[in-house]
Amino acid sequence: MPERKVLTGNHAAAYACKSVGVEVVAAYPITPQSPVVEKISEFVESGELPNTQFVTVESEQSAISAVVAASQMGARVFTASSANGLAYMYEILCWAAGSRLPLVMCIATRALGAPWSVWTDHQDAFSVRDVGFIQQFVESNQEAYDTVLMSYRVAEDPRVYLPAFVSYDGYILSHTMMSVQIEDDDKVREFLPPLKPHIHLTDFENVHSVNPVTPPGLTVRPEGNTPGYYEFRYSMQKAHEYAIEVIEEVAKEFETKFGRAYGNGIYKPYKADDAEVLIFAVGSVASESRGVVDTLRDEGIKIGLISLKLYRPFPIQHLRKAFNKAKLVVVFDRDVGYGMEGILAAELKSALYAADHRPIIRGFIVGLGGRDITADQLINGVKKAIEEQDNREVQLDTHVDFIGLQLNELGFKKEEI
Amino acid sequence: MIEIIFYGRGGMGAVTAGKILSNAAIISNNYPHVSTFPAFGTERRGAPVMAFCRISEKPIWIRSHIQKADYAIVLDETVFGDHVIARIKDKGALILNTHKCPEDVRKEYNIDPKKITVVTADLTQIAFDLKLTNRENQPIVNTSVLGVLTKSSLKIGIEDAKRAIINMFGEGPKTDLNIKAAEKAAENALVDEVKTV
Repeated sequence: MPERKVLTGNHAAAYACKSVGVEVVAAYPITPQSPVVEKISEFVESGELPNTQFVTVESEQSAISAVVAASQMGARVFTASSANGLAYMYEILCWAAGSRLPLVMCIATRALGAPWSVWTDHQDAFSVRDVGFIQQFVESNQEAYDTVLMSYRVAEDPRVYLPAFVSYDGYILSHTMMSVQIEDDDKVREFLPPLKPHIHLTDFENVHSVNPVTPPGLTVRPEGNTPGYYEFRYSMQKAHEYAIEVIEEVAKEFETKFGRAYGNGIYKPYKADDAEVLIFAVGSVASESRGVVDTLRDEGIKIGLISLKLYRPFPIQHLRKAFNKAKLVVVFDRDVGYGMEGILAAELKSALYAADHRPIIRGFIVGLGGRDITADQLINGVKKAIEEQDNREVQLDTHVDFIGLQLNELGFKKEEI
Repeated sequence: MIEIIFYGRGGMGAVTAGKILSNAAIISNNYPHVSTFPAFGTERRGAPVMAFCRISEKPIWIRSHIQKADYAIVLDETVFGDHVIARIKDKGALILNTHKCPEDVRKEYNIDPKKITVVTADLTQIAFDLKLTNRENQPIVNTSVLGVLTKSSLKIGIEDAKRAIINMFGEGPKTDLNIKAAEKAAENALVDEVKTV
């Protein structure tokens, strides 16, 4: 029987690892990620995960290295981190993706130091944009659990073979208790068959070395030419392109099997059908925006939300369709592409550049370092964007309006701000 | 959606109270959706803390702190003050752990009888009477407060609260003591309802 529990986001992710029967877990603690691996280690200790090895390591770099090694031995593996810990993993994240290892990793998002912070924003998740992982954001603890399940299916699909991130907001989900349905192990096993790894280090017949120095050109051998780095990386890009279709497929199957859907697995529209104004956001910012949509609809504004679930691969075609009618798109970024603008805003502009219909895109920065984002602040942002939507000067500028700053309370005068 | 803020001090179990309440809400079948989280800071024992709890018939999407609560629950009187009253909605309720009666609290803090219901219960005394204390001999009040809540307009009964307490701590003599405290708190709570006339 499926079981309904009151769980934090971290524990929901740990239960997902239990449901899929991860075989090797290695992690190093960092707030707000720690409870996810603490819970898994409890499962291992109590015998609830009898076939799981928990490897204690001395750093995040070792944690990801351990799971990369285990994945190359054909194991289903898991790790998790946040902010500075994630940054410390960077080198091996590239190694995991380049080796096309189907590992799944959670990010309990947290602001990067300095100054030191343990609270949420999305800067850490976006900072690993180009390592080659599939990247997803979730809005609830149930979605965290479900997305970990789906991610293994996608990552282990031979058309994909890519590692995947599941990012949930630090504290806002990681430490918030919500009701979560935990599915039957048998049913999960039907949905997620055993891993068929593409590499196994004990396969001495076929595996002679892993990732040796790969020259720029092809290596010509009598037994057949081998690809250069360039061809390997081309295949990684193609895998990302195929992944979109696979993710949609898996989301549909998940819905049939478990009765829960997150849009099409790519993005989640909310009251978007007839919307003239659309909010674009991920994670906690997207969920907070749902109430904003309701409030503004009551005021007569035809507004909706496109909550992005899949950030990498970036679903350009889907987004062109999603935004093909709206006049104005308001993007709330809980991150900054420093020296540019919000990362989501910049990427959406790039995605819609060649679209037949190009809405006005207005970006705002919100809630860095865990600053509470209130519905009122988002409402004010939307209203400002509507007011200024025909203002050419505003459109020509980059959009770095920080909502919810309290500079005046620090004694700055208006002209100094 | 019903919004509840717990006020207490680090170590009193305000966060746990929210978790038990969430559990009770689900058990009651009246609120299948819950969201409970503390105002995270640099946690220390003894520092004033706040925990937020939302329970609802429909899915909950709001993720920000509760600005105004339907119920403000104060586990430690020394953190109570005007700032708490300011965060209670019109027709909301204050639940205060104190030996005072609601009328005295109302007078002392000038609480509008047309706006806020005041409920008091001496949870600290109940805990001492039952010898329900932690290792540092401090009274445990985060479970008994649920008994008080079952006397409010929330659709959560004492049986739901008891079940949730058992789910949280497992069966045992200490759990029984917590349940007894909750029952006693429900009996002893003094309620001064909002006057609608």
